[in-house]
Amino acid sequence: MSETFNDIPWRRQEDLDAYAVRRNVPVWIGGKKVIADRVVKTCCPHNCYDTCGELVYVKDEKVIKIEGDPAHPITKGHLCLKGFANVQKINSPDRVKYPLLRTGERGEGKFRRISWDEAMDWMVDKIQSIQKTYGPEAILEYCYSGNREHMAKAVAGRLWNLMGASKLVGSFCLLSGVAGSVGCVGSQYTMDPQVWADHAQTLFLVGRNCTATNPHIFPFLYRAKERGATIIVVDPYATGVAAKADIHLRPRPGTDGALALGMIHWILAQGLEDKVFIAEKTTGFEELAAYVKEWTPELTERVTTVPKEQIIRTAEILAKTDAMFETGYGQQRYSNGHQTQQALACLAAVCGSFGKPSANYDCISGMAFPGITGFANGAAVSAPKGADIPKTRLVNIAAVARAVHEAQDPPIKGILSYRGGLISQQPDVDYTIEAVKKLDMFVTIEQFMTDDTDYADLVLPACHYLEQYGVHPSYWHNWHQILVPVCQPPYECVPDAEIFAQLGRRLGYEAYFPRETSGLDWCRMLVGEQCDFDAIVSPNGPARNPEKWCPEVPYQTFDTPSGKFEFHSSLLEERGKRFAGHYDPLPVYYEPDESVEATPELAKKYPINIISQHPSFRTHSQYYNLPWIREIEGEARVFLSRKDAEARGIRDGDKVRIFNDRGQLENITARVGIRLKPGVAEMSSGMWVKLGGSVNKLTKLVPAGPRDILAEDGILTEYDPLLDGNTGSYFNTLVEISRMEEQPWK
Amino acid sequence: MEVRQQRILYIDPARCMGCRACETVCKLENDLPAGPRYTMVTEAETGEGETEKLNFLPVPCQHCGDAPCVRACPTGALHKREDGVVLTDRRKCVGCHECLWACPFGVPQFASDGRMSKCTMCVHRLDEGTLPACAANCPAEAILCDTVENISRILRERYGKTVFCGPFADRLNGEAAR
Amino acid sequence: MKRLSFDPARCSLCGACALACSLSRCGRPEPAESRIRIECAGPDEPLRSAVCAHCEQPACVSACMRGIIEKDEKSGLVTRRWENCFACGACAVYCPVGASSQEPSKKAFTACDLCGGDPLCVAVCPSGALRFEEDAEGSARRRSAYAGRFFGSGGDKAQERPGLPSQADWERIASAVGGRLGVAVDPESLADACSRQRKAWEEEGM
Repeated sequence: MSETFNDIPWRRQEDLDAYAVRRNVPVWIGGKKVIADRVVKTCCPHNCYDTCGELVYVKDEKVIKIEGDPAHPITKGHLCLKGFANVQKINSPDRVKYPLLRTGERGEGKFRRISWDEAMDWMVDKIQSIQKTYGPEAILEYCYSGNREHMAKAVAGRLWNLMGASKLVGSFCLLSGVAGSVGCVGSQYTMDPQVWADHAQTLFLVGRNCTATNPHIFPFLYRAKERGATIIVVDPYATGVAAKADIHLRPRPGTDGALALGMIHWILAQGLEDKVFIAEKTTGFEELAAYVKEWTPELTERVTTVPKEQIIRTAEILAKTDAMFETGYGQQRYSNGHQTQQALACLAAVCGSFGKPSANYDCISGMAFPGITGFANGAAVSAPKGADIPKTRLVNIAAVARAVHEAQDPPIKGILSYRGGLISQQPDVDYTIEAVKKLDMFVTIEQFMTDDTDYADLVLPACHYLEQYGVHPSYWHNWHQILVPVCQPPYECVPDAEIFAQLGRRLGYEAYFPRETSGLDWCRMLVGEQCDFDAIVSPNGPARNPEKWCPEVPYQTFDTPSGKFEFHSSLLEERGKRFAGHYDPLPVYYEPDESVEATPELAKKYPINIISQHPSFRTHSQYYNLPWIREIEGEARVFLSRKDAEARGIRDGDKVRIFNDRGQLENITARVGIRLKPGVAEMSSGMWVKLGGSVNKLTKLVPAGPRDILAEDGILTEYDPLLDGNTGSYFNTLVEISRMEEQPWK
Repeated sequence: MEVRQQRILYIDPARCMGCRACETVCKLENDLPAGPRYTMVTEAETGEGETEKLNFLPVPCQHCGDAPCVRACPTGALHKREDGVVLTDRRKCVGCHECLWACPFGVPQFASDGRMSKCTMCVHRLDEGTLPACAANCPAEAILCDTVENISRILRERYGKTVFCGPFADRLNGEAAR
Repeated sequence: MKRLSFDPARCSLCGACALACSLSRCGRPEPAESRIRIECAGPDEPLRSAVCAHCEQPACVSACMRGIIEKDEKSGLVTRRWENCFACGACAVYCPVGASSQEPSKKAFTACDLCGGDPLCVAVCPSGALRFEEDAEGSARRRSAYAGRFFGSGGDKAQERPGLPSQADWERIASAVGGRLGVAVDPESLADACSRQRKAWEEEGM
């Protein structure tokens, strides 16, 4: 390429040196003392609640050690197992080092090394020929949360906007819950755990495996517990946090919403509701009260399988004490997920758990969506002033495979994929692979040779997050640190933003991607004027987010149309007049798409509901290939109950086959025990198809959330991420499990 | 030094929630490849029905007062330092595995050179006045490194004010503790 | 590599390992001819197994003046060409675990060769004290067993010495030994030999 790597602005050594918190720091590695050249402060941008502050030790432009940043008020110098494994990841000999062009068939994994120049030329040629034949909308990006930092996505967004490419919208992670919640509360906020840890009398955690995805909540939970607070966990799976709970409710998968309705029924029946809060700050209470009349403890027990005594006891604790609602994602990864979250928000409102330091409601902070709410301004980067930006069609990420299969006029012919595992993470692996095979161009920007790279035409060497700039506000706490590159990237790896900027320049948009704009400049543009930028760049930081966007004790007011909490959601009602789907203004319960109750005929064949938690070993599919992590995790496992195992002649440690009409997994190790109730099994998500089998071979492409995007084949002209959904409904999956005939010798 | 004044690594199982950060921070601190595991988080399922519970216990070296591995080592490669830390002189180790058979906790590990290596309580950090890497990092503050007397005091402070909810609470107090 | 792993807390001192080993070597249940011995230094001392550990730094290899003991780098085994041994005894003297034994009816010292990868002593051990496993496996199993004891989830109650083999155990042991040697082995005689052995151990104070 005409630009050589060395004169890309951000790589100037003096820039990197300026981020040093300390220099020439002695550090112990394997019992030997090493002098690190510098220590740099940054934060972890993985898709995780914690967004830990990190101190990174660099010697000879290599990361040699990572520690937690003790100055971070929430993560306090502690990291998770993946945080430390980053040293192994960033220095791994298996990294993609150079641009690779496919030489074999798709799926064969045969490539030859090419130069960046050739790679760029190849991409420009392909993109231009697809644009010419089919039109600009035949190009689509695929990007998720591998590095959940937003700056590079916004820079890429600028390119897609200028090109008029189809735009990727939505999230297959959480948006069904957001829709249910936003419908009631308007803008969403979270309250720092420091606040509730000293005040809450009850902690109510729903669908949240904190051990794996939020370990830094534990000191706060323990502080509350040692003050005498009650911890209540709702999760079908016996998680690490459930092990620390005083009460663990284990509903049948997908029935958390029914559980909440049953509790509201009991609270109202006993007159325990917060009458002052309901009178002053809510609307639509009568409609809800009328609807929950039918949700007697008996009906709730029958639907959820939770004993009614437990439901009543929990409902009374929530209503009588100051209860902090910490809701996670698990409960809304069903096709009725938005309804579940809506019911939970209503339960919190009935208990008066809004707007108090001791009792508040956390779903997911609006801070997670720059450009939508919060201080970050995505449009400033992605929609440059003066540019002619055409209105294009939108493709929902929860139905990408469907859109590729079904899109017409133009069809989707080229995907540029980065920061996401399309094949292992999208529901229904085989359907996704078929979609990928239809493309004329599939480019992946990857750190390792994953499931996706095997099917790619071109693989570009990606930077680790420690090698590039980024902006990543936490969606749990309210503290912020800019990601800075701690060292020079190795081999020919190039930061994501640089790849898009260079591609943009080559496609003729030089004016919009000036060569002198560094990653830091893009970050500054994204963050905008709302906070003191220099205070959050190493060696400074972290700093608290602006009070305006992240109040200390949120939900003093609600920015719904009525300005109140809406039990009967006018936002959802209005939206429902325009789009097909389940836009019910009340949290009316309905069964998930696939369950023993909803599809009894299918359940005769496949009686076990398999759920797939996110384990502590990985963030989605990342880290699975690292030796440290593989050693700790061991072989691919499925957890099932003693009763189910006994009925199938499966003993602990046996190899089993898991299957349904969509696919099967073989040679999975069965772990039999107490973690699950009969009728439910669990196999963690994120395993690679080629390294042991992704659970998504079994899951079904049915996005959760109020709007029925499959009716539109996932191709939309208008989309509201706060009210439309859609989440991959990974957990409403029915399977059968059988013992393999051939067992390894023991 | 009396045993009660010596340092030990103590796990508060009421706090450990099984995140396994101690395993990789240990790998990084001691520059270990996959293979030797100085610490390992174990899981145990207890109870029936309503009392079913998942428990976690990291098992690093216990640095026993009268260590069976030190007694079993035929070459004198294992020894106990004055402050209680059990250390390996890898030059003297012949890789006979006697320590592993003797250790009831399964702690001794064998590196690719076949000689024993195990948790050193991060003596290099202790000698500089900082805690072992696992104890310093534990997000749940479940790993304590101190003398028996001090750890006892910390635990009484943690649990004394509310009901006793230490590791054996279920067995000692039954439902009352929950 | 896989090794003979010994768990002293699980050993019932039945002596089946030594009996089986000696049977396979000289055709008689004669523990003195065995390549594995369970030892104890005194009444309050822990049990230990004296059997070749296939050390990484084998003293026997250095000590052998004929150079017939070798550490095989690939398999990890310590191998002996004992046909050429003239029984100077250096390997036995310098063995840190006291493992070398005399070859029956030959003037030569030998040690455990792991039965070529399927040790008979492990096949007969009725209490699971002897296993043939990787270090990592053995370590993880001990750690998990400890956690089980700690939380009282049962599983491994290794505080008390396990009981002696039952009649059924002896029949199983006899058939395992018989199967390996291709001859019929009488369970009664094995049990008798075991009780003679135990008597001798008791006199030694084990």
